[in-house]
Amino acid sequence: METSNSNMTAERSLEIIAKTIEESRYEMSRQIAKPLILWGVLVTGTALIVGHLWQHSGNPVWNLLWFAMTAMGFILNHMLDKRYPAHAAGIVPTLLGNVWLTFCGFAIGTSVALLIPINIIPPVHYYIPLTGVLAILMGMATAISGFILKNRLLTFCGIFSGILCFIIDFYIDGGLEMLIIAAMGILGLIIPGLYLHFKTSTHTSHQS
Amino acid sequence: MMKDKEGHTDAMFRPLDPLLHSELRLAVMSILISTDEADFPYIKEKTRATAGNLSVQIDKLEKAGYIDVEKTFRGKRPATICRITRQGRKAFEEYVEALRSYVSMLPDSTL
Repeated sequence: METSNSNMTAERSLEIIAKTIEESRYEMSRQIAKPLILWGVLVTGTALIVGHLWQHSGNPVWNLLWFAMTAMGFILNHMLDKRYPAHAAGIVPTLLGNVWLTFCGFAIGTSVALLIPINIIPPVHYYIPLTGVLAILMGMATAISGFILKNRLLTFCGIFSGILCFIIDFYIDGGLEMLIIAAMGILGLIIPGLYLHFKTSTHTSHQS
Repeated sequence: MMKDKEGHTDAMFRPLDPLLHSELRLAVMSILISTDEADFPYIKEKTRATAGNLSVQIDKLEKAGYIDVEKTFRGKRPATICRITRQGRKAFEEYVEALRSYVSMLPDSTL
């Protein structure tokens, strides 16, 4: 790229600005896509494994694997960041990161808080649809992500799947409940991640 | 006072900031206006400039107060992180406004 301003027209200046800003937007989308796919695969995979083990052993203790998945997710995410040395930070990836971090905090917090009515103080209501509550939280995080990315499909997927999975949770029990989380992982994380990934890949191939 | 074919005068054209009216510096500012911050390898990759040339241009923008340059470490590796300043953002907005005044004067056939 030239540094001199000879022969630099107003149109050329506007072209540079438009092209650079567009590339930055695609870079931000690329940064969002990979963590979405990574966490989606981890959530879906863990849900299916936990569901299978819970269903066949009848013991919900396998849910402890979620803590291992969270730790593994943060390690893999860190490794993913390190693989790409050139870095730019924008408001959109930061906002989305905070939305999903909040979801993660609420999901772990709600699960741990449930230990109080189960083990310490007897509750008035005895049925707590934890998986349904987690589905609602996840649907909400997906819908907010859709609003931030101005993606109506993602917003719709989040609201629809969150409410639907919450209702379904009243009709299934035990390990089968994990199918709800697996479905949420696919609808809320993997599909939007793949959508953004292919969108940025198509743009990059057009550029080169 | 000079007049063009349609009778517009020079006074209708706003002056362009000479510091921004350079391909590389303009590209650097465009990257920084669309991100919160960007490191040196990222800017180098996106502008396809040489490291030496880019360093010189970043230095000029920093001296003008348009960008902040932070020398830090990412893990054990040194990193140079650039951010646009409020003054830089204002200068960029004024530059774009000035460009618009030029483009709006062009006859339709040239667009």
